[in-house]
Amino acid sequence: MNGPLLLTLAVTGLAALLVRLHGRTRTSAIAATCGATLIGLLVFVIPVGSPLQVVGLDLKVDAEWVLLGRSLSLASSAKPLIGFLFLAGAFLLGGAWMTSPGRYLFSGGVVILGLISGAIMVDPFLFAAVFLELAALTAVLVLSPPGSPGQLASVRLLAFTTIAMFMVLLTGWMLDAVGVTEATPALVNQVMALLGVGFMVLLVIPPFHSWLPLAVEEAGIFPTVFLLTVWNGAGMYFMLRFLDAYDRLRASQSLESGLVWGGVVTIVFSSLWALGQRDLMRAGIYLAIADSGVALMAVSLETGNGYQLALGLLVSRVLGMGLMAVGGLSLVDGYGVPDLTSLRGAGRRNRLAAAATTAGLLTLIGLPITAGFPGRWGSMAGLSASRGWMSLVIFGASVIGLIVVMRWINILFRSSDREREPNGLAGSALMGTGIALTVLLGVFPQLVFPWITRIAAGFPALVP
Amino acid sequence: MTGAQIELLAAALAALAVAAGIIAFDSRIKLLALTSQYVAAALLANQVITSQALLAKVAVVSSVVLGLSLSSYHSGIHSDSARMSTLPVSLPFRVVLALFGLLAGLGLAARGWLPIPDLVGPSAAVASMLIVGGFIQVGLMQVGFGAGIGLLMALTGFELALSHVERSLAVAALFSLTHIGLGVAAGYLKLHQTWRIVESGSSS
Repeated sequence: MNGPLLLTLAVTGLAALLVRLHGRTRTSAIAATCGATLIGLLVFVIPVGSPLQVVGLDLKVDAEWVLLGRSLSLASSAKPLIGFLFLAGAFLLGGAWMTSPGRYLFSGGVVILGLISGAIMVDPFLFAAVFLELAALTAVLVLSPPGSPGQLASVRLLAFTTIAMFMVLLTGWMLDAVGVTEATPALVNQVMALLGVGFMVLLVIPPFHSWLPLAVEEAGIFPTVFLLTVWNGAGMYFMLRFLDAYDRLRASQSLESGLVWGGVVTIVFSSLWALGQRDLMRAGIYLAIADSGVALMAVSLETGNGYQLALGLLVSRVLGMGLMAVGGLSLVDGYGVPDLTSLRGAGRRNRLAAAATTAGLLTLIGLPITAGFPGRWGSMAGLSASRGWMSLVIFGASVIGLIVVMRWINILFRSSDREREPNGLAGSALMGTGIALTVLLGVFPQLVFPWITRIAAGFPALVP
Repeated sequence: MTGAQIELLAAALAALAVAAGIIAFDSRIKLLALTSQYVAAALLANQVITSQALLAKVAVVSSVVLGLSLSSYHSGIHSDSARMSTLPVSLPFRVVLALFGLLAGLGLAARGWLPIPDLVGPSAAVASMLIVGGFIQVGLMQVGFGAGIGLLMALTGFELALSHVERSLAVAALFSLTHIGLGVAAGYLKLHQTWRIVESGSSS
């Protein structure tokens, strides 16, 4: 028995169960959350490659599954990220029961998690691009379920991911076979341009973010946040593996400038777009994209700490987006659009939901005592030594973010004639836990250090 | 027929398919264009991959075309009309765009933009035309079926180019899976379009 095969069987079984449960939203949400949590924990816990005793039986789970001459490997460096993605997926799928989720969110979501795991495990890792394409194909069902108002978001995601797949496969082939060296600057530039476009798509960097606002409109906030989380996670891991494998890329000057300017453009534009939004969810999504820009800047440090900070920002982003989505939807009772009109005074009626929304937004802009702060502060501190102006850009983005949050707090707590709206027990528990978690990770960021160190150990050339 | 004549025939077929894919809004013509470009790609791929692999690919793409035809038939919508797009997509515009697409494909092939040594002549032209033409269709069509056919064309072009350097069975299987997935997605979005129209009709 091998790990990748077990994972495939578990994902297939869970997806089949969720298809069978179609129509029973609450049961599906519970099954998806419990199943994804269980898979995530098993990936973390089960020792791969060493003997294991279960009920007196000697078992050994191999790390590798060879398939048609290529292999899937559940190496110890891949396990933490796969485990994290399943746990993050469980958190987001669990919150989705609060709204009326599309028919395929739960089953499709679990399949997407499985495919992204395949992308992380596949060797040679270049073929991860094909797994990501298959995940984008499954995302069509999640973004355009029967009855959804449009299909533009899924078409765009599909088109962008196909472009990324072409770029990454072509670049990998050029690096392996054509002989791209410092003596061939034209080829190096060509490779960097192709790779740049590929990773812009995978990391959802403007202008390749344009499917996100459409997805909020067409599919709702939970499918959007879920897809953004898995794409961000896979994109970041994939980029670090590329940098780890090809030292010629790391040595290139254009890589550093690409990361710097990619980060700056992402932060500036996304922060400004967040400022102009009339829909709370869209504003939150733009703040999350700006946070991805901070992660890019952390990578541009090209130090072990920088790579670890970029990975750490993934955790806080999931927490921030999840809290913002759960809180925002509770404020409009799960169905309405959380815009300027419907949210007027909503905070007075439902204080816990308003607190969750605010905590989520503050996490996304990296304010102190939230989970987003350590990563953002670390990036600013790291950049201040070599490129002080970039620290100022990040600080400026946090200030703009704060203005966005203050504006929404002002709207939430305006006077309203409507009566108080109680939350259900599960909703209160989810929001309460989320708020506690963001404060806990903000005050004790070292709680996630072991996890980040284990992922970073998979990039020996980047983090010696 | 000689090898050179087959290559020329394949190139002509691919050019026609790309032009028809860009110009036509009718899903039946688009399906015909998709089939033609698959035939063109098969004629060229025959020279670089084994006959067993080619046979497997023919089976895969036949199922894709069949699936798309069935979903198009069941949807009852054959024309993805111009109002579906926010772009100025009148007929003369699409004709000009098709010409530009073909010229861009040929121009790129002549420049050797894909640095694959064996990829020359008609194979390079067909691969470039399909990639460029496919993405033009995606940009032009804002509904899933047309965009899906564009992506299938682009994928065929890319696979044709990559078949000169990567011939492993695993990669061929992954690409075949992607073809099937894209076909299923495009077919599903075609039916999705019908459900939307039915829903908006019943609500009004």
